[in-house]
Amino acid sequence: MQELFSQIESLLFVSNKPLTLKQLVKFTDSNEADIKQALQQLASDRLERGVVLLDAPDGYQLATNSANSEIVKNFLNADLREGLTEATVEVLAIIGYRQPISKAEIEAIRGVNSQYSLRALLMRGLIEKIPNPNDARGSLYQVTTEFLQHMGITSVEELPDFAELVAKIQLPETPQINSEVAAEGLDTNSEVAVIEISEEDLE
Amino acid sequence: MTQIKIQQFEGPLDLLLSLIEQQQLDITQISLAHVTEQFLGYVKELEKIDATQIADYLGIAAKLLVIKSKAILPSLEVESLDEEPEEDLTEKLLRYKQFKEAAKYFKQLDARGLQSFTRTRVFSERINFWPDPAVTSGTLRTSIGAVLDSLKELDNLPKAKIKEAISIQEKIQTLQTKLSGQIETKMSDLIKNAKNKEEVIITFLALLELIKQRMFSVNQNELFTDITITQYTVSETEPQEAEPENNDII
Repeated sequence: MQELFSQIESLLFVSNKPLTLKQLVKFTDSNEADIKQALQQLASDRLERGVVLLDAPDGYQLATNSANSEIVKNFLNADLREGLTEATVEVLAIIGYRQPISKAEIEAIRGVNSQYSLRALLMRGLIEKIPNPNDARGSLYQVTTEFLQHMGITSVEELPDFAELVAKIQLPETPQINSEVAAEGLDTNSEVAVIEISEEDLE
Repeated sequence: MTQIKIQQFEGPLDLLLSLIEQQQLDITQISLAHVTEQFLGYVKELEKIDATQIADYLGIAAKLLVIKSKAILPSLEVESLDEEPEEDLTEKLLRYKQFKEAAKYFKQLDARGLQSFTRTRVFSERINFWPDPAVTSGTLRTSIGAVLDSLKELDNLPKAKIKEAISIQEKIQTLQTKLSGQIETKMSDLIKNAKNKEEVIITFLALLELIKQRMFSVNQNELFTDITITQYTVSETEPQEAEPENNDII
């Protein structure tokens, strides 16, 4: 087991791309369960080190600890990756918590066409498209190691639990719709306005 | 995309949510009925700015109108629409709001500017091509020859040229300017510089049209001799029509 652990670390060290479980199985000639266990150990051992293990759907990769972002960036003479726009961060949050997820599901949640944001995220490598196992024609989206690097986390497991994060956002005790209360806010003119607009806009 | 007022919103749900929150309301059917007019007002504005987004907004607008109609007429039964639009919409809004909250968290992560880096690709480590030991200058020569041949084939693909088209309309105009500057013109001069048969035909058709419009007249002394084109004058070609006019004046 210690040998496998060491082998995996070496492979990850020389690779400049995420390694998949499948690749690790092939090159170490070991079974998935053992490799997963070794990877888990590697990830927890490295959590506070200068080089951490990223674990994303597209594979495993060693990367610098995001706590050292500034000095590494300066050494590489690189810029930090550009910030995200409102639209892309919304889409990213949905994918981050619901992956793998289809475009249709993303759009159902946002209530708006999300083609542009998805394309922008794909181009930046923050998400990737995989075939939908349940629908040969469709695709699903998931985050990548590039996403983890951008956000400075090592795995989506590090994100707060969704239910806890949104705990305070709940539907109020829904009272049955009450015509008196609802009608309070209306004056007679506004009713006419609504009818007028509805005819024009909905035809 | 230009960002004007309405387009600060990430879609209809975002707009609806902010309308409700502006009034410090909870997400309920009542508050939805409350902000319906404002929502429709925005949609009307949006329609002028960017019609491509309108479909997403109209779907929500339709749901809002059902909710509002129900609020005004509690006895109203809407059958054709999908069941319980208000339930549907409040849930949709809630779910959207939750993900907006998650997005807020992501935005914070993003704003920390703490990023990690992986090993970058170094080209010198990556050169893993070397020629096969069997390669000689002869084989290289044959290979490059084969590549060049295949390029030649690509080059020999059938070609088609787009022919210059001359419209009768254009020809009429050029003829008109040309002819009106001269007392008489020979047909042979007009077609002397014609590039092809089509142009000769077009010139002739244009000339016929000008004759029909009574702008020029033509004269040919014998069959197959040159045609002379002159300005149209009333007295010369149609004296019988011109004369009564003169009589009237006298």
